[in-house]
Amino acid sequence: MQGQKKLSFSALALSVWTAALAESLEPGVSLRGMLLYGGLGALLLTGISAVLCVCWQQTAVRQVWLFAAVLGLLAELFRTATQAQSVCRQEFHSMALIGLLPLLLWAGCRIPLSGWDAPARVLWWFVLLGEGLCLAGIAGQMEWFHLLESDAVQLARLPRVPLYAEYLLWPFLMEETAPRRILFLPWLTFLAQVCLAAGICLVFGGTDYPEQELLRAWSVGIFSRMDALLLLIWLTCAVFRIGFLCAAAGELWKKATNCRKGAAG
Amino acid sequence: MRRRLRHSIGTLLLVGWCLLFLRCETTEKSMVRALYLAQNEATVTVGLLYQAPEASADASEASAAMQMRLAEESTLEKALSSVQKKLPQKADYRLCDFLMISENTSEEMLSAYETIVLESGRGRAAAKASILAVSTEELEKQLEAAEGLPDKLLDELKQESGRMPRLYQHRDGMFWPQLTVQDEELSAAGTSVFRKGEQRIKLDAQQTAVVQLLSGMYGMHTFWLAEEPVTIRRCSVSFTLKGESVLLRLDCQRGDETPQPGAAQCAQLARLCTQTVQSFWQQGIDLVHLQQRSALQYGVGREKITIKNDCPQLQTVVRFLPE
Repeated sequence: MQGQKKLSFSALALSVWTAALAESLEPGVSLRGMLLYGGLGALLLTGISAVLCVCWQQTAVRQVWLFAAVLGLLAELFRTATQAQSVCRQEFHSMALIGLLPLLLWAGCRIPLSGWDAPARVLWWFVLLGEGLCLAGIAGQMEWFHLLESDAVQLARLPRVPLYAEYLLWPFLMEETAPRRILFLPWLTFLAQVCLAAGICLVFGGTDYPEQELLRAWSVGIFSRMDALLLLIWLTCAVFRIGFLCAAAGELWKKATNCRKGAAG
Repeated sequence: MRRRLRHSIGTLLLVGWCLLFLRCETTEKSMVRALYLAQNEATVTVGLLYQAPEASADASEASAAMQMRLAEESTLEKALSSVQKKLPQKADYRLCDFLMISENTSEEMLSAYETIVLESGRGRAAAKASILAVSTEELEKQLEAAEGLPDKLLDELKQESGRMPRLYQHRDGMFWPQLTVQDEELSAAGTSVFRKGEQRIKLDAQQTAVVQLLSGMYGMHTFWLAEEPVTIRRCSVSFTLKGESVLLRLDCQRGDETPQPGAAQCAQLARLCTQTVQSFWQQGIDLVHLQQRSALQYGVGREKITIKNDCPQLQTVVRFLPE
């Protein structure tokens, strides 16, 4: 119970931010479409998150919901591990993540949820530093007139609005006195996606390029090899997310088994 | 006792699993620094300018001499695979910052290469691009004759990189600066070619400098005005739109060795800028994005200036900052 009380907003927010940065953009989606439809999607998800929070608090949580929540968290974990392994293999020709995965899962199970707060705070500084660096390196290539081209203003294609387990399951992991800002987790994803789309649109003039190419476009004078460092920061965040989700799944599993014992008793 | 055994087996399995994926890969790779792409009637030639150091190669200051290998095949994919096989070690494109093309390389070829870059990472979409204004045969001859040519080529590419556009801009149309090799000497010609689709416009050194100045490109720009060289170190370009007329204003900072230009020189430079913008407009190219500026001022769809209409009334004012 002690661990549950101390699960912080920064840990949950970093987990969501990490997942949102890895989310690939739909080709052909304009920045305008991303702002309009993405904003609507985030609003809808905030509403759903608030309603579910009230539901979880006012009704007795059934064991089956807890098991479903564990499955949801494990699915997220699997997705992040796959994305991180793909980055490791493509960019660093390494299988290290698969090798370290059992160790990560073991550490995730051993460290209580409250233990993920301190690394999250440190990692947020790295994330901010990395994003500042990234912006400094691509700012010179951004051209405002791309925003006024026909591709950038059309609304023909809808962006994908990702749904993460954290939006819906945080009431299980936190005490009743959770900060209100936790409801705005979908807006964090929206912000990450808009920043990515804006960067790609301003530099390349369309959203048909992958995010990694935006990192490769980074250059300051003759120095142009910062993409590996920025990817390493994301990989560290991905390792954090894997451990954090594992800890969260372990916590809910314990709750579910306690629930079962209580029902049997 | 049983618990201890279980722990030991678990630890052993964990360590075994980690070691299973531990792989020692050599850092000795052929680091590709630039890629050359040329198209003939039925064949494609790909050249790789690379460095094959004996120690760790994953560093820009790896000290081995530059070398170049060329391969000619029927398709781009085949040519790329073929030239990779000619390298002494496995090709690594992490430091491949430059793309050179021959004058007759088509837009389709560039798109095909960009697709390869995006799919397999052999280069980067943000590579600095230029035209190597020699035939493949001539380049081969020069490479055989001049020993240090690949080193000079990389130095020249680095030196001129500030004036080079990037590969991802090729669909919108871009100015490709030209490099020439003559008598085993490599140099920037100062000239450029505008390429958009199948459209080609050749620009002399003066026109190239005007275009670079109007594009806000960094670096020194030299013009011959009233038969005197005038070097511009920095220039700020601003636009004032009033309906269908445009006031273009250039605030320039001259180079250290250039005396303060007179009114006649300013007027000549202004005339050059106006003529360049108008001549491109007549060929369907909005050099300084007047249509987008109009859209920004009056709203998308309500622009007063569109590339389909005649060139707007253009007035250019050039000012040099006082000493």
